[in-house]
Amino acid sequence: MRLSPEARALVSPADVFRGLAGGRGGGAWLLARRPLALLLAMGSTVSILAGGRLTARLVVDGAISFAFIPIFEIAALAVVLRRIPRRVPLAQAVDVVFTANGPWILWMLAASTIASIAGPEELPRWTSRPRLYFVAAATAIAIAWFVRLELSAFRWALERTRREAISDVALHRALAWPAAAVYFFAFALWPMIVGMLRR
Amino acid sequence: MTPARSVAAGVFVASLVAGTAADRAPARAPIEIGGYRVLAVDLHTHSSMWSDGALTPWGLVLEAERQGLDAIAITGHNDLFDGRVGHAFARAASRVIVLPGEEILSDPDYHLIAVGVRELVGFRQPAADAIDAIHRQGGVAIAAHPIREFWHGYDAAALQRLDGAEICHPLIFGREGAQQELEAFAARAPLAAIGSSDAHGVGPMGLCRTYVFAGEASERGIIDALRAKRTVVFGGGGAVYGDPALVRLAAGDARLRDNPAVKRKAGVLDVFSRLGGIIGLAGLLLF
Repeated sequence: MRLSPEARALVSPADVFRGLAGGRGGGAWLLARRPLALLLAMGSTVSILAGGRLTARLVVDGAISFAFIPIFEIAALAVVLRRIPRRVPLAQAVDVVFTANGPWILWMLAASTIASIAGPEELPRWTSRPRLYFVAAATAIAIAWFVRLELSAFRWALERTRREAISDVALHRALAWPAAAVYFFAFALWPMIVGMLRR
Repeated sequence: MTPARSVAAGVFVASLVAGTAADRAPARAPIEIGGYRVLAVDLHTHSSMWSDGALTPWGLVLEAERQGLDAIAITGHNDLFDGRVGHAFARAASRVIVLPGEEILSDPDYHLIAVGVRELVGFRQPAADAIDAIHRQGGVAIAAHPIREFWHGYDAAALQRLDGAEICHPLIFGREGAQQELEAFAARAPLAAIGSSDAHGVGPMGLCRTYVFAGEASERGIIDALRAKRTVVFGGGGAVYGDPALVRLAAGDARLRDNPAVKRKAGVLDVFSRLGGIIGLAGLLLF
């Protein structure tokens, strides 16, 4: 039984991303398919966490709510691609780099599983200590794993040297993550920062 | 598409259909007790626009219907925009009453819910001044999750002006001692008892809710009842808070005691939609 590129990349990223190297042209479907899959996973997670069931209404609403993540990721990737001398179509780069999102999808599956098992009064325990430490550790693992995979994507699929790949990923993250955080926390961000500094 | 991926997609779609079929608002007749119209309200919710919530403002309104709520306040962090969007949507397409509001974050001093305001209230001012600004707009001021770390923001002047304080908040289910801290804060002044879910998308909206004893089912009716402290809240461990006379009337009433966000029995379709959805999604990742 053949596993998907996302699943295989989780364990042997270099092999998978070497196989994804080379031109596969552009096209709207190539540009959209993996970001849409990510949105489907995010919408499903929101549905199970907020509503306790998988419904079209909540999946779509959750996907709309978190659409800013792939949008910022793609916009940041477009900036990074300008540094690459040989022309790589954006659609191809998006398809390759979004293959590295397996750790986040696993994280969402774990969150959905916990929400499915826990009752409504049990779920808030995961937002307070000590269980919050477990969530933070799982998130840290997902971040490290994802960055490792994204490095492989740039290194092997987009054919960058090791140093260039590190620089590309650093720039991609430096653009996409802060932009997403500013959008998500918006007006709360400044009081939160002030509060953390004053505590 | 490989056969395994087709099966995974089929399981996911079947789960989505099952969950959507089960996604109906509970049938509820209007509740009248002691000559008042009793409304289930959640006065502290956050949307994804832009208040680190997981649902859109219109999504919050639709979810409130499903959780058996009569009214919600959409309380953006230092922001009124999502409340206005939700308010406009509800007027056009829902029976749920939406009260525009904001959660004034003045970290690390206080978090204050302003309900029924139309203009932003500045967060760089003492709590008492912020409460005065809320009152000048005809709104009510509620201390948000006043656990011990937020107490110092509420001096005597602020406590004298406050209309209410959250005494039931999801923190009571997750944080050691939170219930006692909320009760201790509420004991410092005559405040309306408030139950709010602080909904960000983790856990159901209305997990903690306030029963407002209103003269009429309207924004004005809710604001007036909050100001008059005509509220009852069912907290953790069977505790009931609020106006003592109303507590006596409400405590034994199963329509109020049984919170649909907690007590709703998961049907076969619910369970299938959750588990099938996770299995289907895992299959789509794997294959």
